[in-house]
Amino acid sequence: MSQFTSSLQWKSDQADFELRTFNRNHIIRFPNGTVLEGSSAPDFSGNPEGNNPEQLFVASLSSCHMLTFLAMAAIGKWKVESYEDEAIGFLEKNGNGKMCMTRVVLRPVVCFSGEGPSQEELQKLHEKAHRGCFIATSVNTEILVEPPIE
Amino acid sequence: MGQHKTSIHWERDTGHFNIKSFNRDHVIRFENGVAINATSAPEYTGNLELISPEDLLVAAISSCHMMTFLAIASLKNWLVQTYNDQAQGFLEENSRGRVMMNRVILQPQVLFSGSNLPTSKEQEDIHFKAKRSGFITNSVRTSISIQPHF
Repeated sequence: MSQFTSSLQWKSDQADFELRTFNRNHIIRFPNGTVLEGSSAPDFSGNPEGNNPEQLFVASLSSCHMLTFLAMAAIGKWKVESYEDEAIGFLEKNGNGKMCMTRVVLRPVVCFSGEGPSQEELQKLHEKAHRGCFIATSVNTEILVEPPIE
Repeated sequence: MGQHKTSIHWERDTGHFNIKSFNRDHVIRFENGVAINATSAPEYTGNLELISPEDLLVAAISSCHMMTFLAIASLKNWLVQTYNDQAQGFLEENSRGRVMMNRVILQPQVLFSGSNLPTSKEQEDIHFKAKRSGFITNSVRTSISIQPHF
């Protein structure tokens, strides 16, 4: 088992506290000193310059899938040169009418040095990475891996 | 419906691609231009100075819960002055033996101002409602325990 902590601070900077206008900006701190400026999503009165929870969620899934993929590739002796992903998450109502991140689409581009895996092997690596990904296992969200067509 | 995009970039900076020691450090970029340096969790050969996908998930849950709490409090005309949270996430095996973010504990401390102050019980009710309608809490399988500090 391992443990992770984050702390956040929000304070009012207005005399009123109206739903539409209260400031959503807050500070998120991690134990290693990293600080993020958080907010709500722009669709929910947030500040686009801050990072909203939905973005953090998408980034968490994209990053965890990649790290698991890289580990699987290293075990398979495929030498990865670089990995890029442009992930998109969709906030929508689920079947129960509740708003949630229903889908996240990962679009990884992986460059190998030397002979890389075939398309089929690459797809299998992504499937294994998806099954082993700690964050993917933690969510209800449907995760689609759709490498861009070259 | 809202869309949330993030991009990640990793490139190998070690000559080898050995599972124990290849670099896990990568860059996550958000649409607003914010870039953060991320890595895997320390137990999985990550770099202690950077944040991991697990950190991001815990922060997403903590931040989303707060936003939902604040929105509900403003609808009830309770003037929130400050909100702090110390969130803890536990990566452990679930009942099926798969590693996931199994539990998150939120420890919110909320200060109100004005003459209309909620009781502890009323605050607990807002947390309960916020948990039920949080977009991120609705997206995870993680068990979320809210332990407010009054």
